[in-house]
Amino acid sequence: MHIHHDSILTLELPYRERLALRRTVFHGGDGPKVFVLAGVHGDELEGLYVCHRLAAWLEDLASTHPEAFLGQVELFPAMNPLGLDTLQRLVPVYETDLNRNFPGHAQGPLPQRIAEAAMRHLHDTALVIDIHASNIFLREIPQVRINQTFAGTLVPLARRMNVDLIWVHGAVTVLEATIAHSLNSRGVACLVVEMGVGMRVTPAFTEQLVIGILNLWRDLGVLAADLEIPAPSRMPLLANDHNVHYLNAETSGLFIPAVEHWISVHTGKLLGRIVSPYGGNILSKVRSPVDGILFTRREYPLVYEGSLMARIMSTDAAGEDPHGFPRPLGEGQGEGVR
Amino acid sequence: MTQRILLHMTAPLREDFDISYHDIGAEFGPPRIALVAGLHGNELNGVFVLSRLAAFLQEVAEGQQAGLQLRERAIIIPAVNILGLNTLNRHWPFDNTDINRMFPGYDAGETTQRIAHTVLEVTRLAHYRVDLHSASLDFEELPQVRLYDPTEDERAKARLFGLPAVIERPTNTIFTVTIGHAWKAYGGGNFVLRAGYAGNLQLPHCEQLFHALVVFLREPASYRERQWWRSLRRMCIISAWSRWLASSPKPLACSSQTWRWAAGNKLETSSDMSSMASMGSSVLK
Repeated sequence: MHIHHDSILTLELPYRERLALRRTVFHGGDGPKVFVLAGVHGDELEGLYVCHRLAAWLEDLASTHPEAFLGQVELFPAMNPLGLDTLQRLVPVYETDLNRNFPGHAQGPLPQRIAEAAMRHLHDTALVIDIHASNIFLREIPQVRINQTFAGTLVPLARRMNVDLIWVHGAVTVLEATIAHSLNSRGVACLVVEMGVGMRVTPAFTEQLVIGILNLWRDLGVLAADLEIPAPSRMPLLANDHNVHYLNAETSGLFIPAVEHWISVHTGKLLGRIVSPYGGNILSKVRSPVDGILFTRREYPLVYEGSLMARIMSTDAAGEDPHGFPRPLGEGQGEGVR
Repeated sequence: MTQRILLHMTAPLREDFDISYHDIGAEFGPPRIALVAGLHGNELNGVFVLSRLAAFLQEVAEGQQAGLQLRERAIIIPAVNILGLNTLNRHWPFDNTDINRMFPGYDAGETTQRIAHTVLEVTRLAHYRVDLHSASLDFEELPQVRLYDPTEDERAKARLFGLPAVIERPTNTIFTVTIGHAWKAYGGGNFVLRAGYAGNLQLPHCEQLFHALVVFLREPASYRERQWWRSLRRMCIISAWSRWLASSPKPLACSSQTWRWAAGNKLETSSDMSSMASMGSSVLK
């Protein structure tokens, strides 16, 4: 196994610095090539730790079972290096979301050049995984998000990722300028992972996802079929535009949650309160509109009216599974599904 | 002044606030034109121009502008991102989202989705729709009309603004979540006007934009052409932009743009904006 570090793009910054889009390449054999991307948003760190854990696992494999590594893995832990180093979600100076700049342009401003370089580089691959945390406002259970247009190809891959949820979005809600949409539109399979919360790392989620990625790599032929890897422990729920319910704040104030994240809830269950810091009054009570599973919960307390506080997948529809999913683990078991 | 509340919002710790708009002219029927500015809170030129235009059209509607008559209904939203405007922030400051990447919006969604939805609802029925912007903090734009995959009617009407440039661009993946793209679903004529740079006012650009909008509104369906033209000439005598009107160049139509970007160097302009450049001549150093 050969391991090396280099950059696929280098740009001069105005004063004595360079911006480099760095990667770590693990080369085993002529088998399939796969990519893992993280840090597209500078405030999302979960994917950086996943890259570290994958790198550590591959380095260990190089010393113990190098013959079991049949393909090539490229890790890009910092797609937005300026944003990560300055704790900004967007691309500094340009104040633009890197994930709204794809497929980019080689002669465009810096964000579009990063996008173009990535698009030019990410080809001849069996799979790209783009790992996002949530933003600083919301905590998410490990999940894969897929555009309905590409569901036929991507859902079978996502099922093996050891995530808790697969969310298939209708085409109208999909942003076309993302890296995932741009790659999938060109026939390059790209899975988008969301998990955890912005500006934090959730090690338990990382270990869960790493197991899924390694199993999927083995299924794709990147790793030898007889290589022993911990088995996936999750059977993902299947969410779609019809069974996901959004709870947006009715008024502005301070949101105080009343429940833990990732629990089963019943209709009318109190999920939290929006209170006034100026008095003892409760401005709004947030209750579940359905029986289901709370898979998104607000982390950042201040809310404007409209701010998302929770997402619930209704469980009465969970069995209507067009892709042949078995019943989800934990359904109907009350609180503390995971 | 026919100022109305577009959206009333609460704030976590401050007083409630409103996003307002002007509904001027004919009381019934769909608006002939809808104009929007301040989707980005640090782009001040459009906010100033539309505030001034609203006042001007209100005077016309009330018969205070001799010889002028407002025959149609106009919707004007001078500032959408008022929280960004008050903090000089391009984005919605609370969650750093770009309101002009939230269209078509959603009335039960996130705050900026709700704002986008409301703005679209009040503007979508207009026959003509105009979205005003400055450039970013980094560049200055010559006042211009931008068209995205235009219809022949949009291409023809864009020239009525009389601005120095009409730039055509193909619809791209970024554009699909802007108000300009959302408008296109409803037909009519849709225009993005850009002038100057963000973070401050450039009054000459504002004059040119204001003039361009008034010229556009002289379309016969909005005003009696002859009366308007006489009035306009009287106005020109006392205003600085009369000279511009006399020497107004024909609009420049571009089917594509070449982007130049440099890193690692401090840039200085070596020619004035709007001056002519020959191939190979130095415009930046």
